[in-house]
Amino acid sequence: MTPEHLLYSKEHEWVKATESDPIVTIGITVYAAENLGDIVFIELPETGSNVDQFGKLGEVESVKAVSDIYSPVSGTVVETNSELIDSPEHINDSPYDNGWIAKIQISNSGELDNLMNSKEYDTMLTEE
Amino acid sequence: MSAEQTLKFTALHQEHLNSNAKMVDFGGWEMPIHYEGILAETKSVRSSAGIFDVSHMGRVKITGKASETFLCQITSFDPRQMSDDQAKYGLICNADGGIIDDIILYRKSQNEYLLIPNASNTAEVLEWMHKFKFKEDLEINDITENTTMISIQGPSAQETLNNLIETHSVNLKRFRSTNSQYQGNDIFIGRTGYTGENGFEIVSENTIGSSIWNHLLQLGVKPIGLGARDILRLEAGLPLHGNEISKDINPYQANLERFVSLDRNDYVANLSLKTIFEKGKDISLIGLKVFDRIIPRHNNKIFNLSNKEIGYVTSGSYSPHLDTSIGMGYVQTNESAIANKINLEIRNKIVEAEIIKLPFYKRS
Repeated sequence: MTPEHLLYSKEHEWVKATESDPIVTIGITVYAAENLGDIVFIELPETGSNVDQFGKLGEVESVKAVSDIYSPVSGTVVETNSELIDSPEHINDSPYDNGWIAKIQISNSGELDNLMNSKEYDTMLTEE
Repeated sequence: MSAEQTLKFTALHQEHLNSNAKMVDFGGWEMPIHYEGILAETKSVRSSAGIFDVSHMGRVKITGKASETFLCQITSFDPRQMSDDQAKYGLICNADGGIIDDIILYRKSQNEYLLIPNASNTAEVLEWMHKFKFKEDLEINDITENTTMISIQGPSAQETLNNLIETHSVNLKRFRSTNSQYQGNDIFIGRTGYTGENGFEIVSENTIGSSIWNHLLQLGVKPIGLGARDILRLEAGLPLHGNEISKDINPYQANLERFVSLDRNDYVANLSLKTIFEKGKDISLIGLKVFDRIIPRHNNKIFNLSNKEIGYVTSGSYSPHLDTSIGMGYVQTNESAIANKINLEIRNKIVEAEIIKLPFYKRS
């Protein structure tokens, strides 16, 4: 079920990176979305802002709880998914696609090695 | 409660697990917070009907010739003015006028009542009641753990009830109750609820609780968890003990004065509530609408536009009905006018909101 072409953080964010492109797309996993339940609010980072790997990127809020979103890479936010402001439910309905959160120009591609592949992430989930 | 204490299960516990409920600790009971999802469940209740396991709430039987005079001492309304089969919402206040709990009292006859406290307050309400039980001819029986209470709420609640009880029709006015039968077993039905919708609450022996619940599921009615219940009651402007009301709050501050009848010398809070009433209220409960979907949470601070702190949030949620976030809270009475703009401090952010008239939702 966990998409194989993505990388994952311990905090349940995913990263879509291609070798030639310095801009990566990030979002939160199905596991994170299901645990939060119905998401009703998202605070997106500002375009142009700099983020650190595993530093706070924004917030998602469901009826039940608020959760910080951490950036899985360091870099500059180049675009955010503004559709989520009015339709944050995309994160529940389509976490790996329409529910993407931000695009980040990475400053250090070596940091991708600190993330997990889908198999390692699944193993972590079974241990949680 | 401490973590070591085991949670109580209602008679419907296995039914919740069968419906894939996510279970949480609520007032010492392991209860479903949601099944398919909080917003989908909220929608089911507003558009058709849903069923709730409310067996965690207290059920206290009060019987005997002294029942009425006993209740006069403790309820905020005058039970002498109730008629048989009537139900009344009201408060149990301590001698200072602070709210120990809010309750529903069903009167079957002058000598027989059923009182419904909140789950987490049942023990305290019972303890309070026993302080006034000095008469013979009075019995107080906590039947909570022997009985099951199921709530059917929503625009098609009546139709659902008719389909459940095929043998006879149950026609109840609002805030009325009746003894009835389900497949040969005695049950009790009240037309009451906590959602802002039409609805019924059914009390049965535990032995037939799951039969009734599963029958309702077979009729196509969705099970609804506590998460949706909280949105529904908040949209309906109904207070929750522990949030809007507590022993530090009196009925006037909570805008519940219509449930208080004074000039009753036998009522324990008569004098203190009279004094509070004459003094006027310092703070008032308000409804607030946020100009955003960020959710105000319990104890977020409220400021006026001059940046003066004027109160605090007691409850908040996203409202599917208004498609924005809403809440309730207390502000200084002189700042409580409808349409006043206010600011909320939510996780170090200032969020604009407006005081609006309660309830947020009223059924048509």
